[in-house]
Amino acid sequence: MTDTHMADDWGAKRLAQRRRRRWGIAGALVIVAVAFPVLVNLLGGAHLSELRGGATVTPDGRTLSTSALLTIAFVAIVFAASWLGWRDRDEVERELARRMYAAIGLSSMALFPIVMITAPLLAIPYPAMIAWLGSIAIGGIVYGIARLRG
Amino acid sequence: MVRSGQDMENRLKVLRAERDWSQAELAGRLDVSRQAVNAIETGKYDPSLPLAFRIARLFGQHIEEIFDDGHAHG
Repeated sequence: MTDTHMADDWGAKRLAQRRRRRWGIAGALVIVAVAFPVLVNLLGGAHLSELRGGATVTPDGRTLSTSALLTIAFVAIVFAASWLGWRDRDEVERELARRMYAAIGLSSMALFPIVMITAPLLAIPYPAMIAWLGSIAIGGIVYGIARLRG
Repeated sequence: MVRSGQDMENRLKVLRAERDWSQAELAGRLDVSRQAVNAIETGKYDPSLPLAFRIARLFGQHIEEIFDDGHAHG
């Protein structure tokens, strides 16, 4: 089929197709994220609180191994999806993503020592997790503002 | 959005309007997002050389006929 025989709105159709593919990947990621703790509980035997805290492990070595493997598989799936998403993005979206990751990295450099030092004084539970989540949140805010301004 | 422009002007919006294309239509033909087209049209983002070439080829013009950095040879 040549260009002359193609529909006048083939560009918009291709864009819509890409949007549907992206929503599909995002939906699959959400399903994996929701299913992960359920799978760990069912197959791994480790409770979610133990995974979150990281301080306690199941007394059964086999169970811990299953949980660890599931966690590695989960991270691998997220990484693969992120890589596919990155390849699917155009240069403007990648520039936005780079700025978001830069904000996460820079804020992490500042937040991590501050939270770790003040954690005993302020009785902050899981300071490393708080600093990590804070950095992610800052990156999200930077990304959101950039998108809104666009 | 992404402010990378250095007072670069372009005729993308005019060329798109001449063909009665929406931003989505142009984005699909260039295989970029609609946000990218909007950012380029409003001068908030300067496209890379490969994308500038794709734009020029799509409209059948030279790059310097679409993009103007204000230092054109007289």
